[in-house]
Order: sequence, then structure tokens, then C-alpha cells
Amino acid sequence: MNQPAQITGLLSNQLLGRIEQMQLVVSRRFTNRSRGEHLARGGGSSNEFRDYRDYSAGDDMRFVDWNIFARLQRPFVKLFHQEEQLHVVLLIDASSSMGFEEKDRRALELAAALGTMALRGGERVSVHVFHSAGRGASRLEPIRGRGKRRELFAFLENVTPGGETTVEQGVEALLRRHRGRGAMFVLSDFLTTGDLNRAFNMAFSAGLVPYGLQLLGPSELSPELSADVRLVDCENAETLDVTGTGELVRLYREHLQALLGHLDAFCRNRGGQFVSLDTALTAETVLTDVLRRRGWVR
Amino acid sequence: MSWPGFHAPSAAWLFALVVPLVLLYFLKLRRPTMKVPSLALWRVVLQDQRVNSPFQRFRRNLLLWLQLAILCLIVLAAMLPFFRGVGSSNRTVILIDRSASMGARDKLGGETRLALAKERARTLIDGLSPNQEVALIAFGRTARQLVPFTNAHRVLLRALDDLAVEEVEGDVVDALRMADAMARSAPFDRVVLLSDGNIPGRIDFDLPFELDYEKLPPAGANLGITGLRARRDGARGWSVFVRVQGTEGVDIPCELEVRRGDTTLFTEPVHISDQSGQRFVFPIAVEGSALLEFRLRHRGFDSMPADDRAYLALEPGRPLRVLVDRELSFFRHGLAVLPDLELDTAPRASTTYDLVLTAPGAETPLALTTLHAGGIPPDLTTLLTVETLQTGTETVVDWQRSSPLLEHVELSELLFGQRVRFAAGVRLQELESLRYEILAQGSSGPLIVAKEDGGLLHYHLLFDPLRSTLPYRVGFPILCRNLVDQALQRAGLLDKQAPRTGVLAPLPVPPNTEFTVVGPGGATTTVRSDSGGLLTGIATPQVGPLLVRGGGTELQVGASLLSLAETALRTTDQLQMNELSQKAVTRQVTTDRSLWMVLAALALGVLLVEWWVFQAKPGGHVRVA
Repeated sequence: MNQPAQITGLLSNQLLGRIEQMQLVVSRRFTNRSRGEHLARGGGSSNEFRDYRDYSAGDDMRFVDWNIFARLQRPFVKLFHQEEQLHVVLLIDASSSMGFEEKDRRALELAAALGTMALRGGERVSVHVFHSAGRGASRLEPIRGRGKRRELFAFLENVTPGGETTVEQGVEALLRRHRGRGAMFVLSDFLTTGDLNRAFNMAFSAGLVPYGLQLLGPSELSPELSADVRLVDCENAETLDVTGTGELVRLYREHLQALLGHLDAFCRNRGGQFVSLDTALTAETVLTDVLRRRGWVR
Repeated sequence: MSWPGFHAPSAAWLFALVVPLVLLYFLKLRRPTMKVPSLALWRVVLQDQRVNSPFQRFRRNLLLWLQLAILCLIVLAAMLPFFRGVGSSNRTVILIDRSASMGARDKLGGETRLALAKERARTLIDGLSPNQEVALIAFGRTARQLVPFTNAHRVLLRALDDLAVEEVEGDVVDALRMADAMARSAPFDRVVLLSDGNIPGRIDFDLPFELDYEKLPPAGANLGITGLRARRDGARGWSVFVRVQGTEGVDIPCELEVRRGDTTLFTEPVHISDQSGQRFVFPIAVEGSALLEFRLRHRGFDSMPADDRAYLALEPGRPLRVLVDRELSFFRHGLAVLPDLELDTAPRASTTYDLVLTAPGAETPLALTTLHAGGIPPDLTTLLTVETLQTGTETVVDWQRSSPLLEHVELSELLFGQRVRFAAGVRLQELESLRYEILAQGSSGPLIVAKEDGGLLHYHLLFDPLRSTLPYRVGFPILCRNLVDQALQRAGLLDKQAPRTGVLAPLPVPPNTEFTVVGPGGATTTVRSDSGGLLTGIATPQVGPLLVRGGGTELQVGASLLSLAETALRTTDQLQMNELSQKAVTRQVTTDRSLWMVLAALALGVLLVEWWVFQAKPGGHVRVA
């Protein structure tokens, strides 16, 4: 019996089938300000009841609850959530550092999964991949609808890591071309010295809630050093001579733990979330266990 | 504080390895590289480490410093450093007292003094450095070299293990002489004396080396037999005198038992009231030869068992057998009037004589006592000459009035027709060095000398008695009486002294016969009597009865300690040597304290620290999803 052809090389058909059943849960920004005579462009088509308030002069008579008025002889106006269409932005770090221990592979797998869920939920999905500074970020223009997922997969399958673009540079490049509110999923190792705070502020100001997915390999989580070793940066070939002592490794862990705490705070303070993932975990485990437990998906 | 010394300072050249170590450290070209995704975090970590480290420069090359420390410690260990111990030296002679008192214990079931001495000696041997050597000498009545100078621990320890107490009186001078003799062939720095202190406080010995006297802890109370002799009492009877003495203030309830074979003859309670002890007299009649055993039966703890037994062989009386040369008729007449003598003028076969009076050139069988009337002994012919005086006479200038031979003998009016002279350049000390004792001194040289040789006593009248007035003087019969008394004494016919341990006095037996001697504990040796019918050189290191058997003859003798010095366990804290000699120092000698093991352990410790610093994984982990 012939096996069905793989839809994408990033995810198995079986996992893709499970992902189709999952839904992305993000904190949406509701913009009641856009409610009025003119529907917002791309606004939602269905309203969700939220509350009542007293009628005041000038209120739209169409929103007065006449049943209440009949019982209480006082006019009340119904208030509705106005659902704005969510723009899911997948920002993928494809610098050289992501080439370690399948971080890039895992990032693309997760991006494909998150994008699939967003398309399945009817959101707009755009993908930004930042390579070297010279090449700039490649971009998948916003797409929508389940039928566009092959386009998404094709784009992701063509991504190759290289260069030394930092996360903040990638965010800035994204914001230069991006329009619309939504959620920004940043898939990176976040091993950067730049001002991530500024970049996240800019993104938040632009209406993007930051969600950080940090991908770290086992050697980054628990480095094993011999006595004297020369560390070589894979992105810019810079070197650093260290004497690998237990104390040094301990300090490294402390700093890494502190970095994780900072990143988590960056995201939480802007309404988003942060998770650090070990690349030793499979994409299936991350999606069906880690992210589900953390409430990212359901 | 003293600086440590080094047994192998030549190993210091290994410090030169520091140069290649430093060069290799700094010049090593291929530092292992490790690609990492980003240096950003590592830079922050290093910066933090440097800021928080008090020894930044040091820590920058921590590995080098640790390697240098390990190298230095290993090189220092290879140089074999040591702290010099008290009395430590490169060559040491250890004198171990093995006399009877070293068998004493401090309590019931406690260790003997010899066991403690061996333990101390083991400690000294165990602490020997590679370039230090030790020689072992054990001494009882005589000294014996157990091991010559060596560093072989096994050999030294085996010799120590084989060392046992000899139930004899100790003589430290013999051991010192042996050490002195060793010093001539193998120079050494120091002598350590391990003893319980039962040695004379003043020792007539010129100490040519430094002596460390290490006194062992004292033993407990002791009571023992210190005197045993018998005097003839009638034809078959003996009066046996026994003295029991002990340590100062000893109060051990006990009884003195006298046994002959399995028969107990007497049992007397012992009460020691003062230092002189208690004296017992037992009248004992013997029909034949009998070996009497005197045993103290204690009813409490007695520290030394060696002196609790004593043995005395008694035999019925017999006439003194005397051989007088035919030419010495005046002596024969002088002796004939004395009772209980068997006088022969020619030697009879298979007869052992107790006293022999011989003239120059006559056949002289061996006897316990011999008088040589006239002539110069062969070993003095180069030292003395006899000159026959044509005119004038020689007289006695001085004589030893307390000598057993000359007691009550007046020699001042004697005239001699011969004069004995010292050869040119010969002095009196040369005679004394040949163990001759001058009994009567003429104007130019000795006239009567005596020598004890192998248990045989020789008197030499260096002048011809017939050319003197001696046979005509009143002193002559007295001299004969003294001579017979001396012979009776030595033959055990008048007075019998219990033989002491060490070497047995010569036994009169049939000549040229092989004898088997069965000692205490069944130890058997074979000895042969000489042509004179004397059995000599029987070693008796232990107290107990001996059975001498051979040629149809069977003798029972016994060896006893009989030493007040050993029984009283008197100890000396300070040894006094001759005035001009070096002083003996009373102190505990300690061995050199070797440091190489400490340094090696430190090197291992630094190595472990290095491993821990560079290899040990820190606890904890980074919390990720």
C-alpha cells in the first residue's frame, strides 16, 4: 500500500493532522475604538456580548436592548466585543548561531506548526526571516486561509541559516514593512548583546504582542569545557580564550538563567509570553506538551 | 625551628623542568578550539568572573600556577626532605640490653622490658631514611653483633624478632667495647643504648662516641635468689647457704622450697624485711652426686621469673688430687703434712688433678690450679729475663697480702739468688695487658705472678725456689696451705659456689672424650674435653639444670642467675663515664621525620584541586521547558 506523500518536509502528515486540530491561543487586543458607522477594514463579522451600560444621548438606537427597556422602563445599551482580525507574525532567526544542534530545524518546524494553526484559525500570517545584515530579512507577505499553508511550507523549506543578524535588527527590519496589530512570535536563541528592550517596545507600540520561543541546544544549556579552550563565535569567527573551570560553567549557567528571566519579563510586560526550549525535545513534544501546558495552544 | 634537610638534594636539578613547563604552557600553539553559537554570553560571564575575582592576574593563568605547584611539590618530594629527629644520625649503633632483668614485666601479663626495647628499636628502624644505616648489638654478659650496618629493614626486623632474653647478668662495657671496635672499621655518629637501666651508674670506659641512653619504663616488684653456696660440713654433709633478696620495699608472700629430684627437702617462708634480704641455711647430707633445686613459690605477682630458681650440684667429699713434680721435693714435703691429699709425683693416666705443681720443662697436665715453680712463662719470655746473681741477693719490695696465695705469708725477709728484670723498654702495663697479675714485686721486676686463663688458675714463681730462702721460711707451709685451700676451693671440695649463667666453669671429666650437654628446655650441644680432662666453654644462657653425658660419665650441674644487680632491678638514670670521655646523654631518640610523603600527598591534593576546578561539573542546571 502506497504511503501518502508528505505535505511538507518540516512536519509529518500525522503531526500536521494533529496540528490542524489545535488552536493558537493568544491574548488579542480588542479595539473598541474602531466600532462606529464605518466598519474597520478587515474587522470581524460577528460581535460577542460583553456588558450593558446606561443609554446616553447620541447612542446608536440599534444597540438599545428593548427587552430590558420593556421590563425596567429604562434604556440600556448593549456593548459588544469587536473582534479584530489577528495578524500572526512569525519572526525567525536564521543567523549562523541557529545552525547549532538543529536549532534552525526546530525553529522552522515550530514556525510551520504555529503558521498552520493561525491559518486554520483564519488569521493573517506573515513570516519574516532575518539572515545577515547585508542580505536583509526575507519575508513572506501576509497570507490567509488554510489553502495558503503550502505557500507557507514552501517558504519555510527554503530558509537556510547564515549571517550574523541580531534579533533586534530583525525586529526593526520587520517593523519597517509591517502593518497591523497582532502577535509576533520570535523564534531565536536570543544570544545577543543588543538592546532587545527597545526592539520589543517598538514592536509593542506597533501593535504586536511579543511571544518569544528561545531554542537552545544541550551544549548551550550545559557546556562542557576542557581546561584551556578557545571559543570561536560561529557568526563572526571572533575568539575568546577561557579556562574552563567548574566555577566558570557555574557562572555561565547563572547568566543564562538570568537572561531567560529577562526575556520572560520582556514578553510578559508587553502582554506576551516566553518559553525556552531544549532542542533535544521534538517538535511534537513541544507542541503537544510544552506549549499546551503553558496555554499557548489548545 | 629548624630547617628541613634533604636526603637527595641532587634531585633539585628537576626544578629545571619549570622552564619547559612554562614554555610549553605559553607556547602551546594549538589551544583546542570550540565553536559556540555566540560569544555574547561568554563575554559577560568572563567579565563578571574577572570583576569578582580577587586574584585576577593569578586566575588568568590558574592552570599554569597549579601545574607549577604540582611540579615543585613533586621535585621537593624527590629531594627527600626531612626534619631531623632528636639524636638522629646517618649511622647509628643500637645496643639492646638482653640481660635477665630485661625479662621483667611491669604487671601480670604485661610486656617484658625486652619487648619494649624491641618496639623502640623497631620504631627507630621504621623511621630510617634511605641513606641511614643501623647496626644492632645485643648484650647480656657478653655482647654480640646481631646485624652489621645496613638499611635493610627486613634484616634488622628479623634480627629483632629473633632476639630473646638471656638469663645472665648484663655487662654494658662489653657492648661498648664492641661498638668501639666497630667504630674503627665502620665509622658511625651515634650509639643508642636501650636498657631498663640495670647497669652500673659509673662505667670505666672511655667513650669515644656519643651515647644516647634511653631508659625503658621500670618493671614491677621482684624477689629472687641472689646467693647460693655450700660449705663442707663433715665427711658427707654440706651446709647450704641461700640468700633471697628483692627490689626495694618488695612484699611478695612466698616460700623457698628445696628439692632434690622429686623430693622436697625443705620449705621455708620468706619474709624480706630490709635490703639485705633473708638468709637461709640448710644442712644437707649427700650420699652420691645430687643436684639441688631451690625454688621460690610466689603467691603474688613477681616481675622476673629467672631468679626464682637456682641449682647447686653437690657431691660427697674426696681427697684433693695433687701432682707434684719430682724436682719439687720441698713442696712435696710441705704438702704431705696436710690432710685429705692424694699426692702423685708423676702423672697417672685417666686421672684429673685438682692441683699441679710443676718445674720448668716437666710434663704439666691441665688442672684447675697450677703452680709453676721457676721459669718464665712462654708468653713473657720477651718481656722478662731472669738473671742469676753472682753477688748480692734480690729481695721482695712489695706483695699483695690479700692475695689468696700470699695471705699471712711474710715475704719481707726472703732472699733470692736470682733477679727478674723487665726487658729494655718493657713496662708493667704490658704484663697487665696479657692479663698477668703481679703478686710479689722485686727490685727490678715481678717475682710471683698469677693468671686466670680459661677457668684455669696459674701461679708462676718466676725465680728458682731452690735459689731462694722460701723453702726454709715460716711462710712456706702457710703458702702451701693457701695453695691447697685455693685448689680445694676451685675444685669445689671445700666450698661450692652455685654456677652462674653465662659460661660454665671448667668441669673435670675424662680427657679427649665427647660429651653431650642437655640444657634447659632440651637444648643439646656436643663438646669435647681437652687433653687435660677439662670440659670448657659450655654456654648457659638460661637458668636451669644441665646434664653432661659421655664416656660413661654423667654429670648433673645447674646454672643460676644469682645476681643482686639483676634481681634488685636497680636502675640508673644517668651514666657516668670516665672523666675525659664523652658524656652519655639520657634522652629519647627520635627518628628523622620524612616529609616526602606529605609533599607527595600535597601534590596529589593539588592535582585533585586542579581536576575539581577544571573538570568537576557544577551542580544545578538551567531551567528550561
